[in-house]
Amino acid sequence: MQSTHTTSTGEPLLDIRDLHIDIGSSHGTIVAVDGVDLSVGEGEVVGLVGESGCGKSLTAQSVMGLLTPPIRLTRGSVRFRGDDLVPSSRLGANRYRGRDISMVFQEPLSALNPVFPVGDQIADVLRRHTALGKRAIKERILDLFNHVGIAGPQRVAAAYPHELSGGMRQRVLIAMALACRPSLVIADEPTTALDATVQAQIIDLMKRLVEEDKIALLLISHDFGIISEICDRVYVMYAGKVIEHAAARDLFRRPRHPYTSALLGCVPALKDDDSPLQTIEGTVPVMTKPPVGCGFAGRCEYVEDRCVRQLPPQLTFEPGHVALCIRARELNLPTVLEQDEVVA
Amino acid sequence: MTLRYLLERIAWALLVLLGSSVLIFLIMHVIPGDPAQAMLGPEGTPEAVETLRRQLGLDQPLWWQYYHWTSRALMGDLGQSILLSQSVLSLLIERLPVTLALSFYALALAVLIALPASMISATRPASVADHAGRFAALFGLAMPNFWLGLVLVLIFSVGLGWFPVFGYVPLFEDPARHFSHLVIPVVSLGAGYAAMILETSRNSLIEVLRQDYVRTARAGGLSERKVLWKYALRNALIPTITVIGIQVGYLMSGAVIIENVFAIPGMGRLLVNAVLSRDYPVVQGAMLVIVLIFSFANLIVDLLCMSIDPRVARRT
Amino acid sequence: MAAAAVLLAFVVIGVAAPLFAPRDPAFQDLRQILMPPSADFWFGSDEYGRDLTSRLIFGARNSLIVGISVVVLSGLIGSIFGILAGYVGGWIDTVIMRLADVMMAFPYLVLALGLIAALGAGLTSTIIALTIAFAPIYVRIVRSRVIVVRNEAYIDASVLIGLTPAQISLRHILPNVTGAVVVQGALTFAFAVLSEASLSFVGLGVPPPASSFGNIIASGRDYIVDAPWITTASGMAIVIIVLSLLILADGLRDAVDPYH
Repeated sequence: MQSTHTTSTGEPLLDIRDLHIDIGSSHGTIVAVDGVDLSVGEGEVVGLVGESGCGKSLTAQSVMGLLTPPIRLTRGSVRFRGDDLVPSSRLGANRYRGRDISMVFQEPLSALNPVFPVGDQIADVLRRHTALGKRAIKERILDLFNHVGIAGPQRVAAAYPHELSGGMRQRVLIAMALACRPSLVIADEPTTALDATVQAQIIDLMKRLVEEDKIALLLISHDFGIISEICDRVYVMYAGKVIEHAAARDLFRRPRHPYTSALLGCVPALKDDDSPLQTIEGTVPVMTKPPVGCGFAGRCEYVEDRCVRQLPPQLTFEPGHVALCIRARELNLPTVLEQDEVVA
Repeated sequence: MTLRYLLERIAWALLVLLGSSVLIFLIMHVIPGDPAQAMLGPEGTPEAVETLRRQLGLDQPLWWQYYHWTSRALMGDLGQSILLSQSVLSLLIERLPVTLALSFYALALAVLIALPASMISATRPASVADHAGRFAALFGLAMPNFWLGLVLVLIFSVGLGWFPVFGYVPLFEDPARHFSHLVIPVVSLGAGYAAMILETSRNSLIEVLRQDYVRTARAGGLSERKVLWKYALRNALIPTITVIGIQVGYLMSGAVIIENVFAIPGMGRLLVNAVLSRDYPVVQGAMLVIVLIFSFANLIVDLLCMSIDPRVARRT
Repeated sequence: MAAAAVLLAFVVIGVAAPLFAPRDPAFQDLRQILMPPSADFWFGSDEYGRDLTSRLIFGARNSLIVGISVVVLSGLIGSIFGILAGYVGGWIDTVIMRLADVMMAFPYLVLALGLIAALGAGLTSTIIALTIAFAPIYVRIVRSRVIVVRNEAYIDASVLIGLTPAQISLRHILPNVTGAVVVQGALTFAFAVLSEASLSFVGLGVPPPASSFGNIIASGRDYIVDAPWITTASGMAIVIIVLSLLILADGLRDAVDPYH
């Protein structure tokens, strides 16, 4: 499941193996992430898709070392350039955070401190990780703002979050993420809280940044439309596991897991006909006790007896395309895109 | 924009002050009981009472009396004390600094203890330190301040001889004795107030530390210390400072009693004695000044909040 | 919950004071002045030879009377004005709120002192003064709740059905408001007890020879070195009662508003 983009040492930039994350609660321990393998290579754009509650955000936050009790990383390794981040996953101890790996969050308004001008908040990050002087920091901030397409950067830097529009705030957050020239940016639902037009602008911005700055991007979303526009490879998560993983092209052309196929059927933009939108019956299970068999069995159209009785195996199709379904080879799942319609 | 907010707040404070003066006046003059009769006591003959009434202007219509009182008050004449042969104004001027000193020290002490304690509590919720702090605070709130004062006197003045039992020495006369006389009163006065600040600050900090922007700051790699002191504290201070201001009323209520316990010649002592001896001009004047101080304190708090939180001025 | 138990004990003792008190609290036995606690005098005796235990029990009763009266009266008056202000709105709302603002511009004891200056000292005056001092906060709390509820859709529906404002108040508004009022009630009780003690201490509350925790502490003050039990016992009594009330208020707040 490794990416083809590797660092000079031949390893992927980010390599997550067998990640397990638990949440302690008064109802018992919830298994939020149940054995996830994920990797991102240098300069690659990787998408992580799934419904709310499938564990994708937690996976991302574990990379940043932002998990706070009662959320615990119980097993697995998170390697960045070969360095395992797990031992230093406590707050404050992860030395890549903010500098080599940075994160862009979902809600731009609440993600910025309302009592400080936005420029100050970026300056703090720069002060922390670089030895730049006051003037150099100011210049860098203006540079960053120009780079992310903020007009009137000086005015914006002195403004407070509530004085800026949603799209502008998200650009500020992106600028903050880029401030220390990271190799990897994790974007957790960066466009969900924005209007449709602004969404498109932000996606374009991210595309441009990936091309220009050669940054690796881990893009988390529940929106396949966005994923299809920008990602090289895609992981699909369900109930704490990666149930399918492939190059974007392959995934959209020929999904191998019923859940992926169902998800794709839910996206209006990807459908080229007027067939009704699919919905997926049921809801994501709450994982206080991981099921014996396949987690999706309860909602799967193609479920059989054996699905429920045993854990589904990982089946490989063309190189780099893996699905976690016992019936994957037999199924001929509906596709939504013709080969030439896929965005490369 | 901020100037306009400032002016609005001042205008509002003045209005409230006006309303308070009306209320004070009404309390003293409308509620049953003839002041003149009360002042002269049972020995007062009807003629003496009548004379006194005319002297005090009590035979005039109410609004006239109110106007008379306020117009002269604005010029600095608050009448004469019935008990002590002094003008009310001079009495207040004498006593005001004392009460201000006492209250200010208590406020400072309370803030200096409660804020750091709340930070420890908030960063270590449900720990031993947290529970201990909160319980101590609860206790401080439940103890009558005069009783705490007496207990402290028993232990520290009578028992250990560290501090004098009562009395007051002005700051400029002898700073050392000024402070040693005030230690126990200030502690007794500040205990309950500190408890309130601790609770508010702790809850506010805990709430703030859960916010998204704290997460963003951590994601940027900022150290926990910086996150706490710069990012969390400033935001958490907003409701805390508001409570500090509102509860100045609690503080001043306490000061009134504490001054009596320790024979400190402040406004509180003056007020209580005036009530006991039915010295109405003094009661009116003292109440007015106390309301003035309280309003002023709240105004300062509002301005502080405005300077910290850029959204405040915008809301008006 | 322990707090509730303590409070219950307090209430029972206060109400049935004569049953509990071993002696008449006013009875002076000058041969037994300032006796330390003993089997005979559980908490000792005071400077007039009065049994401190009995005085404490009757003091508890007075605190109870003041506390309950003040809470009920101020809560009732404040709530009525609050509902009026919130529900009717308009200039009535403005007038009531300005009045409440002015009243809250006074430190509560200072306002009470002013009222007592006019009314004279004593138990009744204390109750009236404290009621007036504590009422405005109920006005504010109730009004804000009422405004929130009033804007809910089902109120409009009720009006359309033809319910009178009184019926609407009773059926819909009251349940939403009671929670906050009850929590504040416990707090008011606590502060009423403390305030009454303070007022009695300076001689403006319950006058001797009737007993109040406050005036017991006041009289015990002169003998604090020789007979510290007087001051200690009465103070501890206040602390225990108020502490229970504060803990109760905390518990009530969690019950009413779990997201607090």
